[in-house]
Amino acid sequence: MNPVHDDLHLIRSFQAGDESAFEELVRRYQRQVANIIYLTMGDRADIEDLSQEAFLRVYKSLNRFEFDSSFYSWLYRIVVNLCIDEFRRRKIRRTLSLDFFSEDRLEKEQKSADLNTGLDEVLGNEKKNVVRQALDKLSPDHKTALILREYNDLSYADIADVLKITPQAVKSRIFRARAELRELLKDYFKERL
Amino acid sequence: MSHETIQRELSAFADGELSALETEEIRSHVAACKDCRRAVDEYRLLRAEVRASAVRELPTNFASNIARTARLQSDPQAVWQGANVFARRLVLALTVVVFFVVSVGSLDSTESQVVIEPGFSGVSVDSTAQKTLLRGEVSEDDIMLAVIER
Repeated sequence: MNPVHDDLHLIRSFQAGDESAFEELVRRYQRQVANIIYLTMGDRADIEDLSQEAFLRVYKSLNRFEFDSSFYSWLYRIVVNLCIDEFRRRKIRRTLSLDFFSEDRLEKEQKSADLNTGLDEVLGNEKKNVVRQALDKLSPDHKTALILREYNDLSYADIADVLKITPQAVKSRIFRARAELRELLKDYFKERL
Repeated sequence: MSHETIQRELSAFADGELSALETEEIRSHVAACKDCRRAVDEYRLLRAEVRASAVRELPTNFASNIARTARLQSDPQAVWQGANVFARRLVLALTVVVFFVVSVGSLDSTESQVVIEPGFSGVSVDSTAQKTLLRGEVSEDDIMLAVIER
């Protein structure tokens, strides 16, 4: 059966009271959701909490799913909106914190971050990836469009549906994201190509 | 199309998002233009790297944990349905033990209210009395008699 039709069949089962259909949907999309979150937020620590939050939102709304779009577009929209909300929350928190931070406090935080980075390197938990770091420098709008294309393999029309923008805007965002990355990764590409 | 226009379209070209006509025009330009070929190669490498930097493994119980949490949040009473048999038995056993300990404790405190009259042993029927009993200084009958008299 076509995976999209299969999704719709699972949603109908869930709406009819079959709870196991939800778990099957989670199993089917958990990796895609986890990676949108990881690639957008840039931190493995966010994966579990935000994935859970995204799927909880799905669970709460699935009974109202109206079958006018594909499940994955609807799901990815929830995930992307969640990531963007989280970005905003963190930005506000960071701005508020900076207002009150003394230089001494900032210095201590930096030392602690350096220590953690060193620990990560020793443990090999979080391999520093030059492309990953470059992705983190993109704006959330550009980054999400690019990730949906590069990782999730969505067409511009599907990305437009997820982000609620026109396909032309998707094309522009992806082009700009790539142009920025080409500039950031100039040396990296020089070594590899 | 000019070289500049084509450069702006290369990203969509690499994604296969252009019309057949545009695709053909750009393909022949790329074949002849080193800069544009390099740009397309960089887009391809970038895609490979983004995919490679994705998370490979997730916890095996990832989906079931999320499904369980969703059920619990929507229906807190489902906590008992979600708990496994061992956990349920453990909680039941602990409840019985706690109930037993509390019951014995309250019986013990009731008994300690019973005081053996001075002149007989002068102590309550508590641990001290039990020790006295064990040492053989008073008999069980003596204690029972004191309780009945009281």
